[in-house]
Amino acid sequence: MTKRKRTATASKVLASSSAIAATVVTTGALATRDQALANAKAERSTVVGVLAPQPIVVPAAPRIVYVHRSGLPQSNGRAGTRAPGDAPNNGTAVGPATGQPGGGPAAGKGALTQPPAAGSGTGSGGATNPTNLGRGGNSASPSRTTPTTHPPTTNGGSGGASSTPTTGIHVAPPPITRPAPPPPPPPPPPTTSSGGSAPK
Amino acid sequence: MGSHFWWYLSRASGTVAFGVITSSVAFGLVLSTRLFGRSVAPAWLMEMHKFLGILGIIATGIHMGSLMADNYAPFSLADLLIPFATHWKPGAVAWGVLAFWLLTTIQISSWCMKRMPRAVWHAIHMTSFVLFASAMVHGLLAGTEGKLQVAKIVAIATTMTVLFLGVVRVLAPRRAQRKQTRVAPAAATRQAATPTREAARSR
Repeated sequence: MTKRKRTATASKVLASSSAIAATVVTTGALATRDQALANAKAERSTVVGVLAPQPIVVPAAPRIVYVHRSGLPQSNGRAGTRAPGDAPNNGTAVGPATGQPGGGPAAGKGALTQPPAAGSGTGSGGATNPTNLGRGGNSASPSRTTPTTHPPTTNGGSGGASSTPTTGIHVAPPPITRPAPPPPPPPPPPTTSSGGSAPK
Repeated sequence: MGSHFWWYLSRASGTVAFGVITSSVAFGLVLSTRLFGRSVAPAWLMEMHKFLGILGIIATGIHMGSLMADNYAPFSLADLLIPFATHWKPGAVAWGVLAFWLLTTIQISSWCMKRMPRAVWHAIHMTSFVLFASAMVHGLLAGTEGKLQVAKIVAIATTMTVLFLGVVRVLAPRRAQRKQTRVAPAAATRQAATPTREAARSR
């Protein structure tokens, strides 16, 4: 066999074995890679799992607490209560105290599909004392179906004063006196001079 | 590997077939352009060019046979031999079918080269560029590895190599011209050295 033929044969053997080796190695590499990808995918699906459904939280309607003059908190949406300034106990009111009805419907902004709840509070009791005004009822509670962004409805207007003069004898209640502002702090004691000592 | 052995084998053999066919095309172009001159024996280049062609057919046969044996993407013989016959990526597979038919035609024409006109053989042999391009497109579109970055790099590198050799092949002087340029000076020298018969008679 000549050198040229030996070289050609060796080259062919080399090419054939290279092709076979490449096929085997590539097959193994593809299988390994696909297996790794499948494992990674399975691991991801195991770790993540199924997301638990999150509860839908609907925030309640804003609850604004108004503080009554008497100091008791009065929540929005309740029926009107009698205002202070009722007839004093030592007086006898003869005529029915017919106070004017409370203010009109609250002009709250409702949702587009749900009109705001109309205020329907009525004043309940004008005081016999014309100086005191009854307080109108608050507007009704906002509808539950209104969106959570429903603004707070405004309160009804204040009740009117009694239109009919009372015939009973009554003593004018003591005027409402606002608590006097706290007295100013006493002036600081005068600084004692370092003069002479007190006489004995 | 398990049940997907044939699927992996088909992918691997397809990749190897593309590499072998590309090498065969490159060897043929190097042979025809005499790019390396006398440093590489033309006979060895010719032997390797022919052998790699046969090896490419064998690798392609393994590729198609394993596709038929696999049940992951079942292919019938008609799916592999008729373009657009398959339902699995018919366009991408059609490029492979075209490459297979071109490879077969080129190889058979090379075996029958002495029994056919050289111009016809040469015209058929030139379709090896189309074979290379269609095989590469088939690999990129149908192959699972076609989306990998390394596959794109290999595709670009092989395309540039074959393109460069093709340009050299076109720009290089043809064999007939080379013979003429080689023969003409030698004849002139001979003519100058040996006196013609007429000149001798006149003496």
